[in-house]
Amino acid sequence: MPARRRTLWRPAFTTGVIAMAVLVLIALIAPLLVSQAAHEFTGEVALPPGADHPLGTNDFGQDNLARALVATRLTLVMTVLATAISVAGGLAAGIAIWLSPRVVREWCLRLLETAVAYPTLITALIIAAILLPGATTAVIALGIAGIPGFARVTANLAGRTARAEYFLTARFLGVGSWHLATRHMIPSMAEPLLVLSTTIFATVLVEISALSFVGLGVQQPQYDLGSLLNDSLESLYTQPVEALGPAVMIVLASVAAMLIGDGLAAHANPRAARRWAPRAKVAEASAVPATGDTALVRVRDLRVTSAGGETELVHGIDLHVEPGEIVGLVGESGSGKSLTALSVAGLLADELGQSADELRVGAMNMLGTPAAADLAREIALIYQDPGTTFNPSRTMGPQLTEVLRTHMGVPRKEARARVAEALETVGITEPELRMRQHPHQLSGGMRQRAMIAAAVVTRPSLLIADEPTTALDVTVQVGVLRAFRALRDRLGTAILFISHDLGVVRELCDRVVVMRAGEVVGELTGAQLAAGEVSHPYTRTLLDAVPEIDTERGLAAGADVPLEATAPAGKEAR
Amino acid sequence: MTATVHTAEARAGAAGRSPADPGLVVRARSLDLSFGAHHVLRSIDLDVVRGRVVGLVGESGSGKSTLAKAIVGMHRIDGGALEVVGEDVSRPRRAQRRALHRRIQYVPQDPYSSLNPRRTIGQTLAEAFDPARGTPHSRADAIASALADVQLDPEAASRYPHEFSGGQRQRIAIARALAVAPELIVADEITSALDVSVQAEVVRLLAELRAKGADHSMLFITHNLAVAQAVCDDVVVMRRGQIVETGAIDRVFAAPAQEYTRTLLDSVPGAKGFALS
Amino acid sequence: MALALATGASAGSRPARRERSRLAHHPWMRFALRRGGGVLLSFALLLLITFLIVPLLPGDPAVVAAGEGATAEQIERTRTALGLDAPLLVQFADYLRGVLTFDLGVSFATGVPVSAVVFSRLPFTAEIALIAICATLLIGVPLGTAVALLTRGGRRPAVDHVFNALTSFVFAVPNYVLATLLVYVFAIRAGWLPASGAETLASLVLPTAAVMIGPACALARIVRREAASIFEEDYVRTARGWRLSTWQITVRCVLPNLLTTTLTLSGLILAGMLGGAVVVETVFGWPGLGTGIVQAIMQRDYPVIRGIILLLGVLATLLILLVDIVLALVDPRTLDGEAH
Repeated sequence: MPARRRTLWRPAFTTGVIAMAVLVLIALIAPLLVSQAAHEFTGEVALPPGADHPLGTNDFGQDNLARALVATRLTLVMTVLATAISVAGGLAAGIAIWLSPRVVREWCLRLLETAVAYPTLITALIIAAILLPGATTAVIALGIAGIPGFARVTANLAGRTARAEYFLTARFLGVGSWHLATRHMIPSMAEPLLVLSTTIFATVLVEISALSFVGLGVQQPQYDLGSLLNDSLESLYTQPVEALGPAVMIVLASVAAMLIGDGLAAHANPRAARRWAPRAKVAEASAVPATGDTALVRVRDLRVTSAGGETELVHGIDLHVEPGEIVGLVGESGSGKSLTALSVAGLLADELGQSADELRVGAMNMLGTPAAADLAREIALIYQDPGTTFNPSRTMGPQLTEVLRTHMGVPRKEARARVAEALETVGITEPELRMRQHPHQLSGGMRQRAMIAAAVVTRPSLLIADEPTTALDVTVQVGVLRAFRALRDRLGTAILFISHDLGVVRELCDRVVVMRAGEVVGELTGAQLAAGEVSHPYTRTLLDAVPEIDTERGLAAGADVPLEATAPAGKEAR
Repeated sequence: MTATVHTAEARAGAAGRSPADPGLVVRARSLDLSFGAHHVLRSIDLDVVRGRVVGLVGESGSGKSTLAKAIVGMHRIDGGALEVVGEDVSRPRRAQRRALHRRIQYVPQDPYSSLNPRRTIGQTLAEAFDPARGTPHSRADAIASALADVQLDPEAASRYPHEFSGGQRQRIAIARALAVAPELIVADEITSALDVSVQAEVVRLLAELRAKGADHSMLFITHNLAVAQAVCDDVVVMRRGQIVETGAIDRVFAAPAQEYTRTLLDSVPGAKGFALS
Repeated sequence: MALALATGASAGSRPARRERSRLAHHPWMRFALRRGGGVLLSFALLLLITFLIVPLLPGDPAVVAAGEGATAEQIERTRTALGLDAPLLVQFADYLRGVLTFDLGVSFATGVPVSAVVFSRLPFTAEIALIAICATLLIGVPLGTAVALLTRGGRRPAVDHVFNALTSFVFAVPNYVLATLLVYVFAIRAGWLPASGAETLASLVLPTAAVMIGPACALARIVRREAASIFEEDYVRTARGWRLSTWQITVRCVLPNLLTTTLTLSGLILAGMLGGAVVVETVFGWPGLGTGIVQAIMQRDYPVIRGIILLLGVLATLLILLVDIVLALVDPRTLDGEAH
């Protein structure tokens, strides 16, 4: 297993924490050390920056730097308090919403949805309008304004955990509410809510200063960073440096809070960084088959390595597909069968490394860069259909005619007619209607057959199908498998059929190649497989693992199942 | 077909169908369930006899998973009567549902989401043995033997779910369900997300547990007819929210009474009636 | 027995289709019902909240309305004149009637009708908000898409780092700080643009820039993240299988699908820009709703506060509704309610 989590302390996060620590330190000690310089009225009015006053003085002769440092305390204190109100209120409201009956919950969530859409600053203004302007008002206003957002996330997180299977199972084990909450609910919510709290802290900091900045927050003689910045506006022409102190402090605090939030979020949801390693492309786009090599696909010593090249995923395999042959590529997850197929198709993910002595499809050298039009015409691809293989925002028509129009120069109308015809041959009724529909309006079986139809129209020499029936029901699977067989029989298309299901492969394929952990471990003909003539131990294991259906057993088995013990459903009871 | 009918009549005559038949772990009558305007289950009548393993098979949208979830109380039924382990749960109350919890166990499909990623296997299993306290130390022996039952090392108890493969996780989930010695286990597509060899491993495990004398009843939901035949005594074939056919699985598979069951059987690669041309 | 079972099954397999009103089930009709209800609810809440501002006051609005140094008798007269002595429900009914007839009373401070105050300020804020919204979309979407395109699959990590650092830093700078900086650099030092006022077209530049730069960065980040995840989608793999060029994939697969998520999120960002406009107006002395509400709160001019908050709320609601309608037009799945 890889290391469980990447470290939290990456440079950006560390910088944020250090910056925030410095700010907190300033907030703690600045009022003790420099409050005299910040508050005392002196005759040294509006001095430019100098040795005594690094940022000059204001119109009352107070030191600008000292004021900015001292103001940090009030800003941070107000931010912390307002954040606390948002978090506590949001947590309470969110949990209350989640606990309430479904109808109430749905209404509350919709209400929150609307409330969240309103700018918090406007909500804060409403509250500030009701109360008198001042520091307390600012804290309450922004605290309340932040509640809906936090409540919504809390309620949604609680809802998500409550639907999690481990939570349901724990409930079925009879775990009480208290333990459900402490063992499962709270731990699952803690991390995202902590991240959200940091984000809210950053927002509140900016907006509480905004409230003071427009004059509705902290009032004279108190001052925070926002009101200092506002004061400096008037003397921006004469003494611009006065704005520097509060501006820098606000930006510093905001950036620090954001870096911490981003760091926590990245830690909670680690996304593997991808490393791009450009593959050297062999110059020639075409390949000449060795004399006597009749194969359509010829793979010799294919190796695929992970990003960066540290681990080899496919260890030098050989493979060939004759024209018009259906070859099954079988293996369990992690066997490298899909990587092999993608290599043959020339579609291996960019960051993976690939090398081979020969990697040829027809006259195309897949290690080079054959013309896109040739590739599109000669090699058709079909994938497993979890409902996402078609672009959801376009109708089927333009997608199914893509290759004809883009690469073969067929006019749109003719392309549609040809695809419609092909759709009918794979058993899709009302093809014109289907082409006007969006992918989500078709069933999984229909989408797979549409994919086959799109392949049929280009008359490819090779079809690569990666687990094409895995997501389908058995009765639908039969239809799709028949369409494959018909494609080969009618057009002579060779098929590389990738599957984990030896049962399916046995029915469809002329030859089967078994892969395990990146290597080819066995090869046998369809006839051998059907007859069970399997010598290689792993292939044997795999074959034995395929559950067989036995429709004979019951004919003679009346005796070994006592009649009384069977469980007839009560259709008969009526 | 005839055998099924005979049995039904024999049973109906002998047991007289008392409201809480001690021989039945599930008794559903005219059960209806809908999501909004969409009828998912329509007048379902189902009996599951104590001690039997009953396969609930059908294609996607047949309602088999919904029926299973209704039986364990995860969906509220809209009409009809439902008795589970002898209790009427047609209108379940909170207290009643809680009382039933440990008598019925549900094993979900996805072995990756059914175990809390933040808790060790030991903690997860301890929770099954003792929901209130649930510390692994108090039940170390029980946990070790539960793990042994599903062929895992005792030291697995101190590890986290992500350290296990899909098949191992599914075995842990089964161990957890067995830990409470339930009367009924509802296993919802527990082999579907697994590789073939791992699927075979789980099927073998279920057979071994049975051979060792585990006496729980099981409702085994699957879309894979061959797996159903390997695991189950009886079968219930569902389609579009209704029961098509029921009976002893070997008999139904050998001589299906319904056209749909025949179609379903002929669609399985390797079946006698399977043909690609 | 077998017969009964068979007929039962076949009868059930053909579900009895209930007669339904086709109109009520038309996707757009359901959309209108769902969203219309939401909008009405928002308006109702808005009305209630803006109404409650006055009764919830810690002080006595009649005292404020009567002006400084008013006698007790004058205060009472004002109270009666404003209807503040009536029961709350009556006051609320009066308020509702006023809203429907655009009669929100007169400003305590100036005596000018509130509707006149509000509608004279609205164009100024609308101007900034509209230009800022367009600019945000025009910068955020192409920038985010371009960066996603350049860095897909881990390409060009340098671009990735620079983009991330730059956008997050700029986003972290509050708009009022940015506004101050812009004024200093472009108005005071360079003298290219006016620092305040709303007289010329040039005076629009700085306030708009201050309002939009932060949201544009946020939007660019969102668009980039979404586009990057779309490049990983199965249907992009399908398109690669059809050997479409990267450019064709971007135009045909990425952009249309980007629209849905981007619009959903940008609705929130755009509504948030109204709040930004309020603050930034202060820096530039812009005679919009922002400076208006600040002034009104300072003067405790409750009719004006009510009017402006009501208007801002209505604008935010309509903006969100607009985004939803565009979404439904662009992506039929959201119309079916599938996205929820």
